[in-house]
Amino acid sequence: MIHARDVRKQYPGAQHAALSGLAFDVPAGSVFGLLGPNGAGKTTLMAVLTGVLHADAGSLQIAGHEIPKRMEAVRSLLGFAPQELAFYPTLSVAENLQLFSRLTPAATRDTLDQAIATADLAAHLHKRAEALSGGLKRRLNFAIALLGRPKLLLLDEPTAGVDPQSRNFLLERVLALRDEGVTIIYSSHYLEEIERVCERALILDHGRIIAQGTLAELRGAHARFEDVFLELTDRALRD
Amino acid sequence: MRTLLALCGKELRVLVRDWHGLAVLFAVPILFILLLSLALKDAFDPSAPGRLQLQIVDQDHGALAQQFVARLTRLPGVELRTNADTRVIVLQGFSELLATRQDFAADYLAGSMEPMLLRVDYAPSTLPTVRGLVALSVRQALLQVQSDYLFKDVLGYSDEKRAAFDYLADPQRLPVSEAFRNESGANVTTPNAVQQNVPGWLIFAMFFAVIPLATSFVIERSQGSLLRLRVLGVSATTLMLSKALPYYFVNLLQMLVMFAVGIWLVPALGGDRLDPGHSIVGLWLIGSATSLAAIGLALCVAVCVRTTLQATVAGGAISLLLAALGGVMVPKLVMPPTMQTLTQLSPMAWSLDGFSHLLVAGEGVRSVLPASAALFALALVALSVAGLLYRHNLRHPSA
Repeated sequence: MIHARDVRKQYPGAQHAALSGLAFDVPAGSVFGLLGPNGAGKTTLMAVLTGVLHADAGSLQIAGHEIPKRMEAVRSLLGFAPQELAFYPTLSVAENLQLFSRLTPAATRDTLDQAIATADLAAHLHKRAEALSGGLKRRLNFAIALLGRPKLLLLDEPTAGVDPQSRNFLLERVLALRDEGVTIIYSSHYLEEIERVCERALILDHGRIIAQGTLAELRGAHARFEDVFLELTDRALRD
Repeated sequence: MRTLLALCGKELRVLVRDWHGLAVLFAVPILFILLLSLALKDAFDPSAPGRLQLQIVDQDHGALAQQFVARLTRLPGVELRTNADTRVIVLQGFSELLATRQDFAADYLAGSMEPMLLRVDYAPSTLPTVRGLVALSVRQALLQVQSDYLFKDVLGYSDEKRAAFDYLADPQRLPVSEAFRNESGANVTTPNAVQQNVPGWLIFAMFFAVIPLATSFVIERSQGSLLRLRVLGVSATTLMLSKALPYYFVNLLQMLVMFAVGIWLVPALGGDRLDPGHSIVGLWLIGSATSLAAIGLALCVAVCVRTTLQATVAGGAISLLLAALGGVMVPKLVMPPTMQTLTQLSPMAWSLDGFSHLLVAGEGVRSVLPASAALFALALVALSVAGLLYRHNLRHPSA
């Protein structure tokens, strides 16, 4: 589904590259983990994949379409849930979903209903988004990403700040979507989530890929995935 | 078009649910219009001659003091009040001093005439022009007391014959024709309080939309909604239009509301009624031009600031500065000539001039074409700058 080769990006005035020669492949219908400490380049990679940022160099293809040249074609395949709660707090759940449904190229009445059902929001449609609990806000953020029935779903820390029940709910939905053939890029700091939903993962640090492969390959001889992560990315605190 | 309509609808919904934003856009200017139209009703009335209200405290009780008071009372524009006022003239030792002087001229020429003291107390808020008027009125009354003495006691005129010489001071026998003319000698009409305050605070309110507009932009950016819109392929132009169009309609609604306040509410509370003139097209044109200039400026601020605090402070400061400079807070007519020239640096002054042509002079749509053209040009420049800055920010993001 995604084919990336030597993808590079440097912000103006920055001393180091945000993305430095990334090369990876994401098979269709899989959940692909994106890991890295703060400032590793995960959000920049998400921005390049969504066409918000353009890479300075390299080749990036999604479903055979060159990015960013064929971004219009990719847009109808793509769903994105940013790390922030990207909706309008003073609008109701229904108003937010209807608004983004009108803006999503592939969205229809059916896909809107399906997104509501997948995120289990039917009982909360009339509520203002600002009045929702943390878990419901995350579900609304997730539902908006599903409005066009995407073939590729990018989830940037989709469970940040939610209770275990909501986290479990979201992870189950991710697995259900994978079973339906959706390709998912899953970025998270929670390593147990990566272990639970991802088949393959990529670990970024300082804009470079420091490891990638199946979880079994990454874990190697270590008992815990967290030990692998800390060994690869250094135990020192990051700013 | 579908995207634009959806985003415009969203913007209006968000605004309607923002009570603080609505208060800034509607309640605050309405209050300003009511307060200032009523408070400055007399100060701005060009048809009524100024009334000088004086209170006399007569500690003298002599005949000459009473004569002075009578003369002062008969001066046109002077009104004696018994209740406390800002100006109090205290008469003390007045008659005694005058009565002991049998020959003022001889004393004066001999240099032996001691200065008489007439005390006038002012409130701290008394304007210098009012103090000048009081001094002039007092001197005129004293001169009449003196001429009474000359006519009656020196020349032996009867009261009737003496009265004939008062015709110069009688405004009915010798009316003064008044006209307001500009520097080139052309007649100009000056606004009354409601004609000054309704368009003034309407323009201010339109420009004050910079705060809710810029704030909504910042919130959209910080909450990730803007990122989501970009991922969905919403172009910078669509995004800008989705902000500009709703605020254009909000500005037109402000115009309707402020005019309604001037036409019905202000007179109901005792102020003057606003005459909207006879050019609806002219009002729409100057209102639209003002709105677009204000929106352009607001979008420039919106793309430059990073936080809601910056949006509020920068937006508020710019609006207040333009209002003070543009003659909204202090009317241009009362400014010194240099400041009147400087008002033209503020687009609020251009707009206020345009509204004055329609509301004060009662002219037609042609009279607002220059001001409207200037405001449209400013709008074009500001919207272009905002668009360029926004695109620049997208292409050159910070890490």
